[in-house]
Amino acid sequence: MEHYENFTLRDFIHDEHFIRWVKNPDADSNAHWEAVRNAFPHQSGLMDHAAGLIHGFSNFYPEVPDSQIELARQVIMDEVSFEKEIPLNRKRLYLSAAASIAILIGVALWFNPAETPMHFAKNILKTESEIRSSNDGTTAKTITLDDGSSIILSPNSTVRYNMESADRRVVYLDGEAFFNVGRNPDRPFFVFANGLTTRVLGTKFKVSAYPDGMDVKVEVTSGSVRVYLTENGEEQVESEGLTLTPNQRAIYTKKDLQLVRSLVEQPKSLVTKEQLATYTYTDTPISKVFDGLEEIYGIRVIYDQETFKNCRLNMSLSDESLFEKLELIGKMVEAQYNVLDGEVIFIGEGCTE
Amino acid sequence: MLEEQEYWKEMCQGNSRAFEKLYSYFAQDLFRYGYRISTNHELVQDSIQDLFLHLWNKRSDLGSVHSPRFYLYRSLRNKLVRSSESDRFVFSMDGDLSEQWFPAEKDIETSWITDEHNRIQLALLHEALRKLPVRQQEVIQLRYYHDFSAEEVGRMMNINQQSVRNLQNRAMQQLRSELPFFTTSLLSIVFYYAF
Repeated sequence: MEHYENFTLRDFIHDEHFIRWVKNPDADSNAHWEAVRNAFPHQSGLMDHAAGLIHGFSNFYPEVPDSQIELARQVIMDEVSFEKEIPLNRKRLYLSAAASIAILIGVALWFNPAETPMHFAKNILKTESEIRSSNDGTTAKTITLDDGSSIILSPNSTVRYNMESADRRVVYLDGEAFFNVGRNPDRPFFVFANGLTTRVLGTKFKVSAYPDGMDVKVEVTSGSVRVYLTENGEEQVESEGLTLTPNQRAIYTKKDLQLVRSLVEQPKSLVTKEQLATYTYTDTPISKVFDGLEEIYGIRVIYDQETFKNCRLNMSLSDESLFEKLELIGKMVEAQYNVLDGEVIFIGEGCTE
Repeated sequence: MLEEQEYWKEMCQGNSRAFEKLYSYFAQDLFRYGYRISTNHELVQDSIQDLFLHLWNKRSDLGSVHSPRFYLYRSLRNKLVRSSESDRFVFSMDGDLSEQWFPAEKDIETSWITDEHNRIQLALLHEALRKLPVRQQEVIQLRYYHDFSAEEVGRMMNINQQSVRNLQNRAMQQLRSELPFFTTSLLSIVFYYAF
């Protein structure tokens, strides 16, 4: 027990018993470490700090898409069940053949969902009611749908759509298009594009999904959309996707099978020019300025209110771009910003009174 | 007996259902470990497939394996290191991964952090961890996510226990210099979860 008296932060985070207690506390270990805490009250803060670090560390791992795990399972289990039926001397040859077929099928399903429509889509997509439209020209082409929504189709792009179903509107996209969707909560609007599904009620947004391009990109101009992956011909659970609000975008990196939320390259003001001119601040707390940015761009700024409580600014938000404004604020209060998960995180030491 | 040991035992007796359960039990964590130490995700997938097929083919010889968990991690690591040497694939030893952005935000969003302050701290901590040399990241993930002891981590990575400590200490040093709040305010995370 005595040796805990002089334990350092390092000693605690190296200590196997301490780690086990932090991660899986039980009655015995609680009693033990509370006794340490009582015997050496000066160590109590350090123990909390070490436990905080261990918790932080214990959530540090890379994301792995479930599809990879399932794909590997299929390959493994296919070979295992194959093996039972094949005479021993020919086994090796067959095994390698089985492996490559299984992988090819998996990849084909994954990368060409447009050609292997989802099960539900199969049922509602009758060929006679499906309309196909391509843009082989050099300028954008506007398509107006029966429900009043419009699609501005970029060159070298194709859409197939079906507007007959009473409960949904469905578009398949190869290439790039900007969508202006009329609001109708009873008939959600789906865009299927190269492995990524975008679901909207009514909004404006752009989808880029060229078949040979690696990444699928969705950018939102107004309203909000939900994006999620379409795996192996099945819809992934929508709850596992991301919600995008104006000026946010999602990029689906096919190489890593990762779906990441960030901001569009040039966030646009969501308010009118006249309104914009009113965002002028004199000796104003920084929190008000961040509120203003949120109103103008719909983008949240996260910062430690306590740290920045003494920062006051003189500035106008009417001129520069969002990122220029953030740079400017950063210079004024000696802070930096990061874009993380479609939000702005502002970090600094704060201001003296 | 632990679940994993039961599956292992039955697999050794030729039960293919137990074999599949064993896969389900370990697959996600093995992938997470593989992705940490290699940037080549295809190689990780191939190695895990090979590893499990090897298990099945050699199942009758594997009854004496003491810790299936250790055996699986260690075999995966050996496979990844070996193929990166022979294929001249860059086995990222010193921070190749650091530039790469893994969306750890998802963890944050879906699990426990709702308080903004904690969220920021945790995001910054993970961002700083991703900048560490890969071997330091590996030790931290093995120790605190995969729950291996320092002794096991040493055997896994073919280094002695003191080297494991050293790698961790170097990581701590760098985190300290990079995170202004490192020495003072990680407290809130703790209160949030543990007590």
